[in-house]
Amino acid sequence: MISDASAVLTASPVLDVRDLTIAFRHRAGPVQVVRGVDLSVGHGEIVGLVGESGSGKSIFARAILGTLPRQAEVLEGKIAFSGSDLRRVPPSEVRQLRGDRMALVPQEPMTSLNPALRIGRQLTEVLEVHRPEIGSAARTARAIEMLDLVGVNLPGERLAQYPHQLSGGLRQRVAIAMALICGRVELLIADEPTTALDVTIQAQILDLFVRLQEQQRMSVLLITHDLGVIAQTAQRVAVMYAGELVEVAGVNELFAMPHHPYTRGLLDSLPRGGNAARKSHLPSIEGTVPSPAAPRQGCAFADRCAFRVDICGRRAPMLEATTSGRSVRCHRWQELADRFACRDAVT
Amino acid sequence: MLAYALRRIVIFVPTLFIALTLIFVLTRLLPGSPVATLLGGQSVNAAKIEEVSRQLGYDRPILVQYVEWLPRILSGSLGQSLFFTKPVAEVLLQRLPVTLSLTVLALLVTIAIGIPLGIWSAVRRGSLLDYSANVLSSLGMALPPFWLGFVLILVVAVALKWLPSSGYRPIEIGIWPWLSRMILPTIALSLSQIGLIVRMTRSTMLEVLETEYVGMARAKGMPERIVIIRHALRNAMVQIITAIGLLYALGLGGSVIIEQVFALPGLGELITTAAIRRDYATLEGGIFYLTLTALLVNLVVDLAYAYFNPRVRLA
Ligand code: SF4
Repeated sequence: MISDASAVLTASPVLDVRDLTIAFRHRAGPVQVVRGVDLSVGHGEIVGLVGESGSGKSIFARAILGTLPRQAEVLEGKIAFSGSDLRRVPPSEVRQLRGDRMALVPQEPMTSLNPALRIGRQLTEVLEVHRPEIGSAARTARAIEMLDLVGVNLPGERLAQYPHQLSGGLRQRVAIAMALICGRVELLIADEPTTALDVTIQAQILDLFVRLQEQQRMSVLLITHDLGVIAQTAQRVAVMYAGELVEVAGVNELFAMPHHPYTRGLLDSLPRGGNAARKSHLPSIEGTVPSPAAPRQGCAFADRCAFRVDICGRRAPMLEATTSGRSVRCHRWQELADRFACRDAVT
Repeated sequence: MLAYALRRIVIFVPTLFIALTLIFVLTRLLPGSPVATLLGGQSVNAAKIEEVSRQLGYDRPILVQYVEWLPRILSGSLGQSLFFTKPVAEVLLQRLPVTLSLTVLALLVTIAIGIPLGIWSAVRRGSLLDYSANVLSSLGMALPPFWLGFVLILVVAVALKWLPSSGYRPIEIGIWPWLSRMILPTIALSLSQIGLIVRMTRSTMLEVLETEYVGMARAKGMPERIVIIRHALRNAMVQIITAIGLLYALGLGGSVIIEQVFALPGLGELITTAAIRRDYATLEGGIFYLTLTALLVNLVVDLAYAYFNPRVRLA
């Protein structure tokens, strides 16, 4: 079976990350928070990156953008953006890509807009830096046009307002407008873009995302802890656990048949039938992501895994490619897949 | 902004009233009486003291004195000094430019050096510059200003003969005669203030540089210069500005000592003498002037605070 996800993949992906390892400098030595991650995002593709907080997914995004915090550094790997390895490009050139050809929609609209600057200023300064040829009147016009595009009412008046005068949903729309204002975005990285919003606004923003992605023909890396968000938007999903990818699959395949026990756990904790109010009563996976500083032997998920066997604690599983074009990191995936396929057939 | 400014100005009135009351009460709480000091040289007997006290009105209940005093000081007529043969207001107006020169110059120097140095240490944290700034600011805060003043006089004025060691020339005589006598006292007064503002600026900037909106500015591809000045500093200024108001009040305190060291005929020097002599009128007038400048500086600070903080301005 050929998945519809693979149909949109073209020969050269917009983003192609290979074997990326990121560590935090620590007195006791480097602590790896992202370990050998391979991930690509094709043209016009929305790829979801899922994981709990602490899984390393936000640091992964910052590494792509080249805005890692001081304490963190890329130890190994390649980050190819439109064919060029960003680790070999001087930082000043990576800066020029940011906000222009690759952009970020941040997690917290409440805190990621500058409280001391007017909305208009925060929008037009992006053009000032990346499109200096555009005059000041045209910049303002463009800002209004973008606010209108992302569904901000009274866009002209918003320019003179400050972030604290806007609701959370409006702020997130402003942040999206800010990310797209240059009009040349090839890769949009959205880091938990709806987490801070309430449910109805969440749905609106996700709709906006999908609409804009189609309109602007851009690729999106959507980072979230919420598989529900992925189901509504992404074509392919990568599941991250403790700094490693544990499963990569097309969104339909993954939801139909999760291979990794962790993915299964995430899916089981999703509300069915779209009743978000029940969310808090759902079983979630017990335990927490192991500390990246803890010594690791065997499978990182072993402590929380219901299917754990002897070998899991002794030998770390590798990310294996399956015959259906998916990858999974579990010693028992094949066996479990068969077992669950049988059970599903019976029920 | 206008509404905010008006509100600040309205608040100014009760603040001034409280300050005045404190000035009056604290002055009268000083042990000893001006009459005794006035008659100090003569062989004093109780009857004589009582008589002079009655003449000066110091025998009446303190509340009556206060009620009479308050409108007088507000109207600017501060009464007659017991020791100078001039009205207090005249004496004070002569002294005010000296103190203002010293404290305002010190504040300007502090801002001009301290804030950039603080920003720089924050941006280059852990660098040699950051380390040196840290050592310097600790030193500045640890060294007593009067000692620093003496060292400056000994080295720069006495040994090197670069600048005059003491005294004051009004600015009307010429910029250089005025400035040359202000340089050393200004350095002595501002060094500890600089230490304070460097640390304050550094820690505030470090905090702001960690915020998400600064991260967002970087993610938008803003050049580092814009990230630091437009995005970080603008927000850090809100807190730094508050510190500046405090700093001025501290500087006024320091100026009292510095004026003594450099023989500057300023308010501080006047107040010290007036306090020793229990010259109520001069003492109260002098402190009133100092308070007034501090309150005015704080008013300016409040307005600047609103300028940097839209949440305050538009509230
Ligand atoms: S390798 Fe073992 S412990 Fe790890 S997920 Fe698979 S079954 Fe569970």
